Amino acid sequence: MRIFIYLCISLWGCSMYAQNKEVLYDFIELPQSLMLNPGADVDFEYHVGIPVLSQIHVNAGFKGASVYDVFADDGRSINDKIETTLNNLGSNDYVTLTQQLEILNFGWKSKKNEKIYYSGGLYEELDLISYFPKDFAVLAYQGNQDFINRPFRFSNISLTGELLTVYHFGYNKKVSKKLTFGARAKLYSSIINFRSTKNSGTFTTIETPNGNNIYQHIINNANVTVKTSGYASLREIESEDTSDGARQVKNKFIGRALLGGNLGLGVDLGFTYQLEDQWTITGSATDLGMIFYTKDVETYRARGSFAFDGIQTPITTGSEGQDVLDELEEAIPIDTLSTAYAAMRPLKLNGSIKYSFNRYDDGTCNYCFEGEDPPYLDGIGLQVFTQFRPKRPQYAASLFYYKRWFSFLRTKVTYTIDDFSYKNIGFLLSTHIDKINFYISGNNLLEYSNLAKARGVSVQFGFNYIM
Amino acid sequence: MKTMKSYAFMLFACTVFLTVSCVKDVDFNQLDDAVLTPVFEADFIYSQFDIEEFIPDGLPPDTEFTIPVERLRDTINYDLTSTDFAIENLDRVELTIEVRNTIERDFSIVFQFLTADGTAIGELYNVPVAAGMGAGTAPVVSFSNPNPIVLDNPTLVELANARRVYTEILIPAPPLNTNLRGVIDLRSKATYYINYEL
Repeated sequence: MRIFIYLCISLWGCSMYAQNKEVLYDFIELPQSLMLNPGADVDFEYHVGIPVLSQIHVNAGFKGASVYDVFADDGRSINDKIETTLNNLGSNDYVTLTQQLEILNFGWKSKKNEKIYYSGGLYEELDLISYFPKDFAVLAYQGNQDFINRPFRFSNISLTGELLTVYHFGYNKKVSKKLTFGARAKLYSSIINFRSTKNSGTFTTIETPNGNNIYQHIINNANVTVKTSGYASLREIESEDTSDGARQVKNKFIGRALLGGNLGLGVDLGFTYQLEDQWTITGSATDLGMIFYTKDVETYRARGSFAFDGIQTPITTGSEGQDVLDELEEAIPIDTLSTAYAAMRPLKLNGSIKYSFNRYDDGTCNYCFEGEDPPYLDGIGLQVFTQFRPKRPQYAASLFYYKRWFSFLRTKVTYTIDDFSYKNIGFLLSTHIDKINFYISGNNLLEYSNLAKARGVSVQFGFNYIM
Repeated sequence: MKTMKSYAFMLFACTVFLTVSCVKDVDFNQLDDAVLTPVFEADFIYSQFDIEEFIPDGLPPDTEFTIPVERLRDTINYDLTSTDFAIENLDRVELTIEVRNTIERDFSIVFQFLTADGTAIGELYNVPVAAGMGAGTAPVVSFSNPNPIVLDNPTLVELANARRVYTEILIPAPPLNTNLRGVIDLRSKATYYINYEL
């Protein structure tokens, strides 16, 4: 129990948000911008991400609370702080954790048509989101005494988790001087997945002045489902209790990562359009796809209604009486099914408008690569982001400022408003030295002096070899 | 030289970025003081005793009769504290018992916890039931004595093997009369006070 609580809290601790990579989006000097918008207006001859180091992305968030809210060293009782935090949190608050690791990333300009840029690769992704099960947290923390006649809703239980690998290949074409269009095909191989969404039903203790007993405890139309894939076979390994269990799990994971898992298909689409010389708009939809879970599937489902108003003592019969738990199991059986299911990937939408200015053109090209047009050194604009999640989409909007200091050093600063914060400052630093590119970005920088107070932080960094 | 400078700058930027982040003003040891103290209310036993159902057929009015004692007794399954978790983390259980009576006679209801094999453990609890004022009148409400019955932690430890509850309606003298009408309506709840240290 204690370990579980530490785990939950450390999850809050390293908290950041959804998959919004606002500082990386449309940063066209980095090949990773193609992963956020396959139609980004990139200009590379070729690129190779340093394997396993080309992008490391961690992103976690707790909407509604921070570690500081519970663990502040302020002399107040922790129980009071837990209660206050519990009261402040709502069932639409959530904790998320996203982690991505690029294993391979490469791209090259077509020899036949230099307007076309191909890119491809492989990355691993872990994506978890759990909404705060407010009603049941209250039930566990305070009990039902103060909540007579108030329903505890099973719809509060909503969470998904997935570990997968993504194989992708993208096509980027400068259709005209103004328009760049891109698409990326994705093949998903799910290693492990669980989801419990769209649950329904209530548990209520109602007062019954005219009923059989003081209360009636009612589970009304409960429908709670937990779908899993990739889990049942792991449980078998655990129950065998063999010493090489860890090795077996590792081998299974590697096999599934190498297209041996539950497969799915998806596509990213995007464009860049130059409205006028200095104005650019972009848009993208990524992870428009679905995974089909057919292998190693196990679904647990509890459905039914049940009412309990105590144990009747018939007095007249002298029988053994009723067994409430047996009756409950009969009324709401827990079925284990192995039905295949399919689930959409969390679709992400990005859009931006940018105004570029301060063109540097003194003929020396100290600030640009050879052969490039003299670049604009500054850019300012607005970005919007949406990600579809089980209960409702998450939104974010950012103002950004791009600055090219030297040909080897470019930066971007963002100010973002989202579910987590109204004062989220992000920063990206990208260096290009001897074809080696290194970048690092993060957000919620104002919270870095004390991460405990942060409700979300995101960090990405990586190395590329770019021509 | 320019390259060297830029590498140095890059290193500096990363160092700043990674070292300014920290976690402070928090004390995770506070978790040792965290206690969950939920209070759960759950129905306990209930019963309706309509005296008319116990009057033997064919008896004329205003005649005395008795009810065989086995019809007044019952044993039901009730797992009060079957797990170690319950014993260790239950601060106390309070039993609230309310009896509404319209029969013009006083009674008492007793109950006691039993082990799985039927051995009585702990106290025999008594609920005195005051006489009612006849069928169709407002019931007279009685409560257990004391009200509520508090099973504190030592008592719960004593009752660790309780798996059943025995109940009986006691009818004090004189015998019942076939003219009597009315109902005893017993309603009860158990309030569980949990004290769980994380």
